[in-house]
Amino acid sequence: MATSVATRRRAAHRQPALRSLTSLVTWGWERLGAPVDGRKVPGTRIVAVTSLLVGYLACLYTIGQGTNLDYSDAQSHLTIARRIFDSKAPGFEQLGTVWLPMPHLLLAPFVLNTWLFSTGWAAGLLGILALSATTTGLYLIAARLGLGRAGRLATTLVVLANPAVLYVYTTALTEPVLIMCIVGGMAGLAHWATSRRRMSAGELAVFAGIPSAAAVLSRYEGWALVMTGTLFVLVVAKRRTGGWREAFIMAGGYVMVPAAAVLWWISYNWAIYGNPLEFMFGQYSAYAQQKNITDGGLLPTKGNLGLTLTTFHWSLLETAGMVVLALAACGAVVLVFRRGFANSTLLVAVTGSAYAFALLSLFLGQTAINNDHSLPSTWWNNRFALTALPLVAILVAVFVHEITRPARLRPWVIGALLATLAAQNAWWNEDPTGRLAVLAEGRMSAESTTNSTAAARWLHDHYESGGILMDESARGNAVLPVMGIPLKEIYNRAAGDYFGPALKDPAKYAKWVFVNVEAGTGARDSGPTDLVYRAMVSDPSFNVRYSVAFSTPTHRIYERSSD
Amino acid sequence: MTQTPARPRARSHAGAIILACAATLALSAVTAPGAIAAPPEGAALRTSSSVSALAGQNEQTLVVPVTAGLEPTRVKGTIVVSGKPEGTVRATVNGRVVLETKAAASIPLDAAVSAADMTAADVAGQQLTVGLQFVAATQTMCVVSNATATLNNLAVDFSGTAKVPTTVGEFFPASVPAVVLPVPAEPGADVSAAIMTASAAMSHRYPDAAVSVVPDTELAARAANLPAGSRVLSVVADQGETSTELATAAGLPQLILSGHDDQLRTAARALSSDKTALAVTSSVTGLTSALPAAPGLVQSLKDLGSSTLKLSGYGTPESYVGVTQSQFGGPVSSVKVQLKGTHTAVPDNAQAQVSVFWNDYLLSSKNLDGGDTFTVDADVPAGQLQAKNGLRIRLAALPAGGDCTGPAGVMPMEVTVDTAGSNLTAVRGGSTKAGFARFPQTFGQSVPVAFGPGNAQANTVNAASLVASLQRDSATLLDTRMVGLDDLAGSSESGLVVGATADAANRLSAPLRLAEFRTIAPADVEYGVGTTAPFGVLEAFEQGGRDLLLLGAWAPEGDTAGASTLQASLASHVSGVEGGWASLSRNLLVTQPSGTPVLLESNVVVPQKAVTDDYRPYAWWIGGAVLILGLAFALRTVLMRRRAKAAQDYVDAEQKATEPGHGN
Repeated sequence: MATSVATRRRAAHRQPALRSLTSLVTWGWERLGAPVDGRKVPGTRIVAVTSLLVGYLACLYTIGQGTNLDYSDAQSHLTIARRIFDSKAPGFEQLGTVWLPMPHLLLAPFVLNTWLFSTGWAAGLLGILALSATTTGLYLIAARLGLGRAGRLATTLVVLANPAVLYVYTTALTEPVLIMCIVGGMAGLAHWATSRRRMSAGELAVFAGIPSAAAVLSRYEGWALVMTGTLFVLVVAKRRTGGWREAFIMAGGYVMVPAAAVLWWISYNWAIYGNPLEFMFGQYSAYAQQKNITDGGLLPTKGNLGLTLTTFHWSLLETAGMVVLALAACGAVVLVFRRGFANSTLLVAVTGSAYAFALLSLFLGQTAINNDHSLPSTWWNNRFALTALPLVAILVAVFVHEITRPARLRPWVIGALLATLAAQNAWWNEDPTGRLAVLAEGRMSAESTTNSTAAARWLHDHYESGGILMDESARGNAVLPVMGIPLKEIYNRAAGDYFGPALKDPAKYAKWVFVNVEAGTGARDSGPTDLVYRAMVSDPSFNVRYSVAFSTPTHRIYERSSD
Repeated sequence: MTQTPARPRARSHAGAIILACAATLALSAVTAPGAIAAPPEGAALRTSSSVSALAGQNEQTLVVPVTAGLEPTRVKGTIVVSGKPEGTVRATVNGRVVLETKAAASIPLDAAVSAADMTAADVAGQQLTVGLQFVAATQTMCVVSNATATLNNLAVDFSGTAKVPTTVGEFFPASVPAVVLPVPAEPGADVSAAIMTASAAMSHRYPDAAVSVVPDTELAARAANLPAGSRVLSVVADQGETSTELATAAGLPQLILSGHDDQLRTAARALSSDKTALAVTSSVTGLTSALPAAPGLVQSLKDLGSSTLKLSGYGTPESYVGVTQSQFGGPVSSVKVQLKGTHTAVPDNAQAQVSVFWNDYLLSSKNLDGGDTFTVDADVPAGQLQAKNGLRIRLAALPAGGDCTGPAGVMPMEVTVDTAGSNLTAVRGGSTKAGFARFPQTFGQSVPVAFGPGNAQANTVNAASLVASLQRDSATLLDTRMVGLDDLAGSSESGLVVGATADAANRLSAPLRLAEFRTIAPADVEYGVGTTAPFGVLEAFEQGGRDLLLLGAWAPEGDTAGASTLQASLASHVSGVEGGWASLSRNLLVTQPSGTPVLLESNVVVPQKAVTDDYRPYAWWIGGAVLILGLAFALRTVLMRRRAKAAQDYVDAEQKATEPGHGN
């Protein structure tokens, strides 16, 4: 009897808990479909928290597997961020000029911890935040465009139900920061364009200008965003006020922060390298790298629009998936049909500026993308297709919103869409690294650095002290996070004035030498030759003073023979 | 106790076949001066081929066909032992021991043989079976020596006079060393198709023979180097009924097949059948044959050529069964292996396992314990399936207590696989990357062949040579037929294009266009090739969901003769390359003015202008997208205007209705 009473009590206790959970879900569900109220967009926090959770799970998976460090570039970004503080020559000049600085600046606080740096969790944590910001921003844009619950959630699902996107957000690649900033800028512009209250130029600068400036300092696609964004502000402000003066004031308000960011970057290049356009034409610039490829005839997209479109869209298709792209295409038609060239349509068009910029860069030969349908076919830079993600997500949202309008059909339509998305994921899951371009490229990158990674791991296990001489910029040598050794122990190109003397007399400085021994045998576009190897072969005494401690077909580790 | 060697029957069946093939193939290269229908007495058949026997392995044999009328007198050669020469080397002829001696680094073989040592291959031919066995000095019952005895440079002296065949049946004995097919000048499409079919038929019927196709003007030169017993098979156009005629050409027996249209081709196909041996007249009319039924997707080990499969002893005895995709009648995407068998009781404290490997990948492994039967079910994982595969079954057995040194009288473990009841079940589909590895299985049984414009004789020679090479790797008879280039381009069938022009290569989207090219790594081809020096290329590629083979050439300033020579040299290279068609990897075989042809991946070719230009039309996608969006906007505008007009009309009507005096 007593047991029975206790059970009933527990059940009675559980019922309110169940009721409160049900009411919480109901409340959340209603919030996700509630109309926008001024600055507040109901449901934002729900999306943000959910995305944080999904991002964390994605990190647990990829970092657990070690695939988050598959891309050599990912390891380079982690290294650049850390060497601002931890290097033979620490300082902001370590940001370099090859890449824009924002991703490294945002990574910097996370890489201070060696474990976070060497496991890649530093990038994972930033990626989780970036994923949350991206989905939240897309949700905000969808809500500001007047889309209902189905449309808003569709934008979120496009991101969160895509393994390639989730993978990239667990790495230190620049895309998570870039997309976050683009979406942030777009969300600010959407707020400004749809707000009933006239926002000031200052408010526009804060809500749209600052994220856009961050995008400008993340990747050059951000520059395209600012250009089209400025045009958008000009047109919308003119439509609203009818006066050019007001329009120019608003456009100026938006563009001033990004413009300051551009000026800062040019000044930085001037100050550090003595050339304001070092980032465009310098030794390590994309231009210099592309020149080798162009000279080798391996940039066939240059001047060939058809091949440009084919190459880019295969990357996009093998990243976003057929289902999502088909919905997005339908969304574009629906958008123009429903809204013509209204401000909301223009806003969506601005979202696509990064996509257009990526296409233009490919057509002009400023970037190279390779996939299994390109010429030649290999895997290279497929993640650039992710710049189209915001546009695709918004267009999908527009279409989903449209087709779920009839309440009678809504459950069926939503069910069918979810089933199709699940089928797409199931198909990907059968062969993820064969069917998702971003993952295929990661695997290829990892396979190409198997030897250097093994060497780095060996050094991680055996290094105690004495310094390491290596040319981290050479092909396959971007393995410092895997090595997991404080960067101040390493004599490399980033060591500035320490590197030259160490090359001349390695034994005086470094107990260990990490070297790529395949110099001159690699492909034309495979990166700079290992300066350490070059110095080593020209030094007849090297083999007397050092002995091989670890060897692979491409990489060797030498240890000083006597201390 | 008899201590069983650890590899008692290792690869005995398949190995014997392979070695016999190799040996007889090599016999095609025999140098027999004056090898004509009636060779002088005392002539020798000499071969540079060899037969090898691993220590402990069963006897390995080499079959030497002997033309009717000839009688062998001596067998000569050298046996070389690699590894530790510990044990006994034994050579036999038709099972009769002609040499048994202690192993040494080098052992000469020179033994007398006679007609009694021959076995009848069929009514029209005889053969000599030379065997080699290396009985290793036993170490333990589990460990086997890895020493090998190899019989090199086998030569057979013979006497007598080769018998000239007088019936069609005698023309096709059980084995022949070589068959030559001369191609007349300017052959019609029916003759070309029949020659290609005959080439496939001969390669199918005589897998060990050297089948060569030459322009008829080169027949004498080619025949001069062929061994006795070789045959000439000619195809000529004749408007009468299809018939055969026996003759002599260049000193060799010749069969002339005449006829026209498709009957000529089906008659040529009939030559692949053993039933022709039943023809006891010198001329046969109305020769025809239906295409054999395509093999199914379920094949037993027996169907695959392994009639008995038994493993016995301790250690790791194993057996090998070759499995090609063509044995399933076409390309397959996956294979399920189901093996059934029985085994002797495993003694107490002994251990025994049976393991199944696919191309050296372990598919499954089972402990043999209670009971006397076993089954193995395993799927071949994606990526492990190639055009030619090997299924290896290994018994790993340890005697009681793991003591490999004794005691005497230990019962050997034995495993017998039920070859009729053990099946391989395949699923039709693709498993290999586009390239040479997809051939010949991608054809199934049908090979449509299209010629480029120009020299039909050269195209026929090249096409028939390629078909012969493909046939050697195909378990089923390839049915070759001529189609127009337009028809092939417009169809969805896999096919072969020979004598392709630059236009044809462009039209078929070949990975290497017949135009100037360079490779990413300049060292891949000779300096100048593709820019100033001509090149010939055989390409294997996927186009429109089917696979194509394309043979063509490019030469600066339209040097057609040079281009033709390069194509012929490529076809000839493929015919004679060691390892046959299976040795071709990647998707391009490029021949150069000097040096050997090189295999390339089209990815190492810097994209040619003709290739990149193929993509330019896709630029219209943008136009299409703009058009669709424009139409959507136009439709919106029209509908909005209509709606505005309707609203205006409604307002006007309302106003009119409320106007004073309205309705009065």
